[in-house]
Amino acid sequence: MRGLAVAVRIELLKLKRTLALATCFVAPLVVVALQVAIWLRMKEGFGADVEPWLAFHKNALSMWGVFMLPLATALVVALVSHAEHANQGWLRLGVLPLPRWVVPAAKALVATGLLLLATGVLVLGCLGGAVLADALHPKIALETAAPVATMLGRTARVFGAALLVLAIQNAVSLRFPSIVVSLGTGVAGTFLALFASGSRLGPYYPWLMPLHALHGKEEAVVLSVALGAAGGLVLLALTVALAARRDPGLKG
Amino acid sequence: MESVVTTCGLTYRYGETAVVSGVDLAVPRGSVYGFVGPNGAGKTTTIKLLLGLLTPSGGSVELLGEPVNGRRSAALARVGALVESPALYPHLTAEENLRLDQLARGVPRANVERALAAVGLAGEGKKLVRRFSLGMKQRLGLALALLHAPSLLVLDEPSNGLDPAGVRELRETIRRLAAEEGITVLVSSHILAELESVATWIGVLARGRLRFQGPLEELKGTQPGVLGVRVDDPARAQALLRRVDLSATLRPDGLLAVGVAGREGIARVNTLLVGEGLAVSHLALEEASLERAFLALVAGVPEGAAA
Repeated sequence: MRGLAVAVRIELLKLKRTLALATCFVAPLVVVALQVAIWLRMKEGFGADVEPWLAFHKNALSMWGVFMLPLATALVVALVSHAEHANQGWLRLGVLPLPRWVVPAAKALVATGLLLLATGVLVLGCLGGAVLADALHPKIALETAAPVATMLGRTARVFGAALLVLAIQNAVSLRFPSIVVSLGTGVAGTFLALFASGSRLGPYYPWLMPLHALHGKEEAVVLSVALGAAGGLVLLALTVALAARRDPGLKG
Repeated sequence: MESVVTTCGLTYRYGETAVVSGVDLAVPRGSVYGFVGPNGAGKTTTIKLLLGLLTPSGGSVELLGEPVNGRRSAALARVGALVESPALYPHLTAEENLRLDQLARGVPRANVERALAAVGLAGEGKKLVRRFSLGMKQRLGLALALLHAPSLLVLDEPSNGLDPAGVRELRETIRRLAAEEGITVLVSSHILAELESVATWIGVLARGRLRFQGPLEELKGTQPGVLGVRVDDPARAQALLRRVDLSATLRPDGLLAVGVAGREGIARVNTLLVGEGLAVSHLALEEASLERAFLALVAGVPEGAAA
């Protein structure tokens, strides 16, 4: 496991001055800013049955799960792999005395960590955004403490369901040197989600799983989280195993 | 003589084509092993096989006594390598680039400064690599290979992109590493003159097969010497020499280039020409060059000979 810890450290060092780290802050804060803007345009206050904290968080989380998280995933995962594709890094890493599997495993772990960080920023941003909107809009009244546990539970469901998309992007990014293929997969997957949402098979479409994990009926929530998380972990493990078998000296 | 790199029947096929075929390398400890071959001969593929970057279709590789395909990490622990162009992360500084490998190899952090100084980049450590010139990148690639004080250094076409001063500097560095630090260096190049002045041992690869392996002098010895002869009547001398089955070519500078073997050959030419009444004013043996020996080895190797 020392090899894996070293490889993770190396991947973290390589993030310095990259867009990957910036994306983890910018992407969730854009969603929060949009949600604040929506609230500030509200003409009326909330009804008695609406918990403002949760309303803010759920709306932001919906935008995050359906649009921003898949796109941020495509970008972050592509950037993590592209560092090697663009700079002959596979050859350099290949001559280090590290087991082959630790390099793709470290990349998968770091990409997952970055997207977890982005999701954490979203939660914190929601707290700050709601407070900001409360301060700026006279009809918004945050009278209770933020239900952080509920917010974290919902966020975890969305993130768990999104693991399959992360694993798909990871597989594509490791295999194809062109960053266009990775980003194209992310954009196409997100775009097609708009059409798949009305389909009977929608809950099985990876890019819609975060949405179902948040808004679906109980069985749909369980299905989305279970399929997304378990499928994602299996695919991540499979990708690491296949990448470790591929010779670093092969071109393309 | 102990070998630090040993391959046995090393073969690599890409589809139906054998890119490397039955190569038996033996790189002696402490040598500077010049790995020569024309472009497309399979040098880089062979080096990738040595370093475990490709899995051989057949045969075996041992580095410093460790089998690469069985104990890869152990085999690579004492090897420094620069394959193709240096693989550097341009958004990181030189120091940060070295730090990545320092962590992976578990060597002290002081090695980073030492490696930069060893390649003349002391003081450039904080600079982003994207601002480096090609020559500086090449030197940083060498620093990466030297970071952990390796016992074996494998350099694939390290002079690519270097200006003449950089090539000379690189040659000096290789010579110093071998002489002062006892590092065995395997260096590939298609620039023969570059290796002739630094290599002690030569391997010639053509179309995926090893055509020669041995000391530099032995390679030169595979070629007959050329005797430069100046006479008052070159045409007559040429005819006389051809009559006794000696090749003689008249050069633009008026010298006759005569192919001879050994001192007896030289004496025979002299005796013949003087005996026929020709005035010989110049007689000098030109040493066989690595280039001539190399060209003789790779010339006439048929297309697809490795398959």
